[in-house]
Amino acid sequence: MYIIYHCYGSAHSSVIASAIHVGMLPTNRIPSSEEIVTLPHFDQTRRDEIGSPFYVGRDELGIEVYILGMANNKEVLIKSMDSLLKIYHITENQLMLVDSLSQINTLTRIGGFLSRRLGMIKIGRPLTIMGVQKAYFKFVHLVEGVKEKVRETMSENSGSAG
Amino acid sequence: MRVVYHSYGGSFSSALAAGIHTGELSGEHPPGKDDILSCSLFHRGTPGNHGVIHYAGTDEEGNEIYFMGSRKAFHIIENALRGILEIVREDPRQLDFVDTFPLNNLEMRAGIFLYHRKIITPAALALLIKGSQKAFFDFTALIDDVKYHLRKGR
Repeated sequence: MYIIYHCYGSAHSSVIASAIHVGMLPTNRIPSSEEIVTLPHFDQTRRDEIGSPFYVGRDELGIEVYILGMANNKEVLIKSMDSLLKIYHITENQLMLVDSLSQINTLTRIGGFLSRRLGMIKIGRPLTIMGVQKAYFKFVHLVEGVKEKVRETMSENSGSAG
Repeated sequence: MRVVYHSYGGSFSSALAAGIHTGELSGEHPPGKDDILSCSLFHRGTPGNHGVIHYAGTDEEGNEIYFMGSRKAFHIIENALRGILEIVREDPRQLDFVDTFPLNNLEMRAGIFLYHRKIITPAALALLIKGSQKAFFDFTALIDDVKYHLRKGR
């Protein structure tokens, strides 16, 4: 099984959610700016890299976790990915797509726009970090929900296999 | 190998290319009214299913041929699909993408627009036929080129 957290540009919300998932960020406290800014891909992804999945790590169950930026093409991309899995005879529940963009707040959006789109990193990056810290437990909640769903899917799969 | 012809909507130019490639449509002459009305390939790409990859058939070498509508997001889709294949440990080089969007002419674009909105269908068909006639040899040249590269790649 593979998990892909997706957002607009795979630079902020998906990076945070995936880092929580693989244990790179804590679940019981708000991380410091230093902990956030040193995450691989945080506020780094270039526009031409949107669409490419990036590997983040494995979680405690050994599941590979990735991030993916979909820009404004979520619907079309998800349909094409579903089609691709069917063509390759891969069952849908092998790949779990998680939308992390819904957890993002205005502060991170503005910061992300300034940093990634306009190249104003010095102003934009601190805003994205502040936004993430403010909404941090929403991300933790999202990841907990995902892990719960993964456990359910895995027990269903092992049940049907048995 | 798998080949995906793609265009903006996946309703005409990519379906035409996939149809010629598989032999479902003639490579000798442009499609006529009956071809457009009866060939199922032309009726799959609708505005609601952009992104869906449609199976068109296999060619004489056993390559699987598909087509899709990718809107203006093709580069993002290509990055994502190749990335997904790597994730599931499949070889991304076994999947080829061919853009048919540049072969669209004004008649085809107008024809597709009218045809899908069911506005003056006879005029839409006439425009699609005229557009296909004008660009037909560009399509056959593109497909010959794709087939040449598929054989070379083996």
